Order: sequence, then structure tokens, then C-alpha cells
Amino acid sequence: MARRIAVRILLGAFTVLAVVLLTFVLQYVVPGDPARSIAGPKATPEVLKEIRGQLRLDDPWWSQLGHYLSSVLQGDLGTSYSNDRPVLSLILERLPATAALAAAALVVELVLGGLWGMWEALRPKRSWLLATVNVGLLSMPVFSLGFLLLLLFGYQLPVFPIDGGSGPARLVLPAVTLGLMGSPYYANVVRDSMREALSSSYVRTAVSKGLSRRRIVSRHVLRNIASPVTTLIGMDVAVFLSGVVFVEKIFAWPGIGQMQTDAFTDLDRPLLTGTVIVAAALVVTANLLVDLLRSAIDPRAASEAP
Amino acid sequence: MTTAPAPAATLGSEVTVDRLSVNYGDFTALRDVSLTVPAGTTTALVGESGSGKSTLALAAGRILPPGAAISGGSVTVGDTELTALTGKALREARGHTAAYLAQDASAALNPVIRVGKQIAEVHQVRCGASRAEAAELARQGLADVGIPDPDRVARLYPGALSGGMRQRVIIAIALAFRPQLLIADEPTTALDVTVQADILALVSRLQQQCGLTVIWITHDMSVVAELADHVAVLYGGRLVEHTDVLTLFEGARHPYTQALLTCFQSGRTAGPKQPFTTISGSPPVAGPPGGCPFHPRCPQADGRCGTELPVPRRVGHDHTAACHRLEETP
Repeated sequence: MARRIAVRILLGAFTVLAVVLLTFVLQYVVPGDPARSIAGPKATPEVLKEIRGQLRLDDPWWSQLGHYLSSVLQGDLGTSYSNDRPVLSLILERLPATAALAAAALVVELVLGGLWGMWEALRPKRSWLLATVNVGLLSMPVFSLGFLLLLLFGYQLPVFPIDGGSGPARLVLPAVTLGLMGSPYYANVVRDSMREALSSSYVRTAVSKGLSRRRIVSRHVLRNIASPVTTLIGMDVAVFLSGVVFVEKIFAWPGIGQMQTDAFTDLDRPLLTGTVIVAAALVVTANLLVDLLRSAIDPRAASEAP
Repeated sequence: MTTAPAPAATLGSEVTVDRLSVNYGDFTALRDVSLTVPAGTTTALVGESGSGKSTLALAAGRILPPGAAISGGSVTVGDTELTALTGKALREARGHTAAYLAQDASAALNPVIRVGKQIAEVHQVRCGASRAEAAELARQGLADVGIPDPDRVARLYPGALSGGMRQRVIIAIALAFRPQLLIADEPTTALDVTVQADILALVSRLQQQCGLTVIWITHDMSVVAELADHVAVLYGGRLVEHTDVLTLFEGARHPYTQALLTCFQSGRTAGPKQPFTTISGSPPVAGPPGGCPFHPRCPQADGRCGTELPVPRRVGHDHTAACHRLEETP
């Protein structure tokens, strides 16, 4: 097990390194002059030259790469062009808001999708209403749902504030938006793996032992669907933590996603690449944790190759 | 654990299946099957895939899947009419009056629950045993089915066991509650021959110890010869012949049974490169044809066989067969 964890950590580190290299290549090949975007269109050639010197933009590419790698390894993701502060501290400042949104959204989709999927699996007949809602949510763009909720519950029925910012009341609508978008996935996974478990031979064994249906579902079926659901949670944690761009922008939630959009409009390269690197690290960590969790839940997962 | 267990020999009960029919929606998988299994004996149910033998097993254990329903007839074990039970009474009869031994032990054990827990659960939930008592009973159960080092095995997950060991665990689960009737659904099909022999010996030993009544489903005639007292041959959802095992091998009367036995004999005696004898055609899938279900494949069928259903007739002591042409065949 220890060996397996070590291998996974090593593989994860390589993945992050690959992403760092990729961000460097992108910065190098993308057109546009960073010095110009820092100094503005009216800057004199002297000022531009000085900035280029500071950013080492005139050095050969291997020197730039070496410098970039060594600073990233030391935790220095560069300095934001737009507000002249270290990228890492900007990201860490925004992380709590994004984490709160991620946790709330996860609870919503897990509860909603879990109950929905279980209900569908335990019912013999298919519900057309639920199937329609399922497809509807799966095909709806996230901004449509976000604006719809904002219009309904912020404007028509002013239950929730619409002025943006953080706090519990302002968390509800973005979390519900993300949760509703994610719930059909959970419902489908829960429904399908539960149906599979219910028709399995081991459930027949449980029936032949004379167990009640309630006990069969709670002890024999739910344990078997824990593993696929954990996988789904892991994927969502990674995606949510690395910034949900649209939802944060729509609800003016001060998280990483909003910062990313701002960095994009400002052409703030260090900030953009910084968020990408942090996202990669978060995805890798989340995957590793899910993997460990699945091994703990399901003995079959523990014997898979790393 | 304070009351003394009942004497083992009285555990088994006579089993009566009376005109049992089972439907999967519109499809009738089993029609009007009647047979009696004397207490403490083994009856083998024989037939090709789709003959209804597994359906009979699931119906007798009252564990038919959703969508399947008993559409007529009854199954009685001792004094209990299993087919009349519902709700709590039915749950209590499962595992106690009739226990089911599944076909594929790898799939029949829950992969995410430790082996010991899967046996202990029966004692805990059904008899209110404490966790420690149940664990001890589970350990005992594993030892009874010949598992070495039961303490260690109880803590393993099914994935860590071999096929033969898993089958033993399934037997321990089925027998945890000292059932009156054991329904074994081809439990040795997935095992290799030496392990199969071990399992057959184990079930015979346990049967003698507890006086179990056994219904054993198989398509393997060598298992029949080894284990069965009586044999019921099913075809297309109907009982075509029912007799004791000696008569079956020496004087089978139904053309289908005779064909099955010929195939079996040819399999045993055929030399190298000699083709096996097979029954031409295939068993009915969508539902048996009118008349005798076997007539499209029967070498002796005449016009009457295609239109009129033969009813089971007595052809000797403890021997019935359902065929129009019994008088003409030896």
C-alpha cells in the first residue's frame, strides 16, 4: 500500500510538472507583448525596454525556462501584471470563497442526486417527468440556469441578495446552480449502479438469507455504490476548487473563477498560468485522495494497478 | 445457545411441488410441474438451458426476481406452504424453511463485505445474536464446511478467496440457519473437477449429518449419478420424466431423457476424434410449440405429438413419463 501511494504521488508530481512546462510554452508562443500590456499603449520605448529587462523577456528561451522552473519550484508563481502582487498570495486569498462554494455545491448535488437516483432505482417504473428534468438539466448551459435563478429568486422574489460578494445568504444561489447542474450526473450514477446491485447475484443471496429490503439496501447495495460516487465527488472537487468561472462571474462570487476571468480580460499572464498550475495541483491531489478513499471502501479497488 | 439443538435426523422435511407454474410477464417458464421429494433425500433437476430448472429452484426458494411471478400451484415444505407466505412470514421462511445455494459463488458473495460478516449477519439479524456470538457462529460455520484457518478467512474479502473456497462460504451461508430444504442451483458448474468432487462430498456429508432434503439442479449426468436419489427431467418448462436414479440410467422411457443419456454416454466413451452425439435442434426459447414441447426434436414424434400435450403417466414404481409413444418405445 505504501509503495502504491508513493508511486501515485510521484506520478502526480510528474503531471503537475508537465502542466508547468505547458504553461511556459503557451506563454512563449502566444502573441502579444507583456511589457506593452503592463505599461499601457502610451509607454515610451525606454519604459518598455526596462520592463522587458525586468521580466527577462529578451533572454534566450532556455534561460527563461530555467528561471521559470526554479521560481515555480520555490512556490513563486510570479507577480500579477494588473495589481503588482504575488500570484500565489492572490490565489490563496480567493481560495476560501471558492472552497466554500465547492463544499456547498457538493452537498447540494450529492443530496439531490443521491435521493433522486435512489428513488428512481427503487421504483419499478420509469418517471417521464424525472427523465425530462434530467435531460433538461444536462443540456442547459450553466449561465442560463444561473441567470434564471438570479431572476426568479433575486429579482422577482427577492429572497436572496443580488449585489455579489460572499457570505451565507449570497452562497445559496451559486451553490444551488452548481448543485442542480451536477445532480443529474449523481442521479444517473446512483440509479445505474444501484439497479445493477439490486439485480446482482449477491443481492439474491441477501434475499435468500431472509433479510429485510431496508437492510439489503442499506448494508449490501449502498456500500457497493459508494465507490463510483466517490469517483464522481473527486472529479467535482477538483473542478470546483480550480474555479467555476461562469457561476462565480454571474453571482459576483469573489473566488478563483472570477479572478481568472479578470486575469483573462487584463491579459495578466502570470495570474492566468498561476491559476492553471494551482488547478493542476488540486486535481492531482483530489485524484490521489479519491483513490485512497476508494481503496478503503472497496477491497477490489485496492488491488488495482497504480 | 441454551436450548439443545433438535436431533439432526428430523431436520429434513418432505417437499411437495404441486402443479407449479411460473411466468416472466407473458412468458411461461414453468408449467404445471408436480413432484415430491421424500424427506432427507436428494432429487436432481435435469435439463438443458431454458428448461425451467433454475426457475423451479428460485420459485421453490421464493426468491424469484422482480418481474417473475408464481402463476399457479404450490410448494410445500413439511407443514409450511411456502407459496402462501408473504411479508415477514416469507422472510422468516427464507434460509430457514428453504435455503438457496447459488450457482456462481464469485458473484453471489458481496465483494465489499468481509466473509465472516456475511455469515454472521444471518445470526445477528435473524436470531438476535450479539456481534461476538454471531462472529463465533460464523467461524464455526466456516469450520463446518471444511475451511482451514476460519479465523483468518472470516476477515478476508471474497475477492481474496479461490472459487472452491467461495463455494464453501456460500454453503456455510445457506446452512447457517439449519434449513429443512436446500436448493442447490448448479453450485459446482464454475469449479474445476477436483474441487467439484470436494464440494459434492461436503454436501453429502452435511446432508447425512443434518438429514437435509436437497433439490439439486444440474445438467451434468455424472453429478446426478453421484448425488441423486431421484431425478426429475424438465424440458420446455414441463416435467417430462421423474424416477429414481437407477431406473433413470437403466430404463429411461422418455425420448428426451434417452437422448440426454446417449449424449452423456458418448461423452464418456467416445475415443479420440470421434464426434460426440448431440440432440439435433435447440431447446425452445420464445416458448414451447403446441403439443409435446419436445416434438420438433424428437426422433419418434408423429402427428399426434404436434397437436396434443402428453400428460405424465405412471410407467412403473415411482416412475412417471409424459410421452404419447411410451407403449412403442422400450
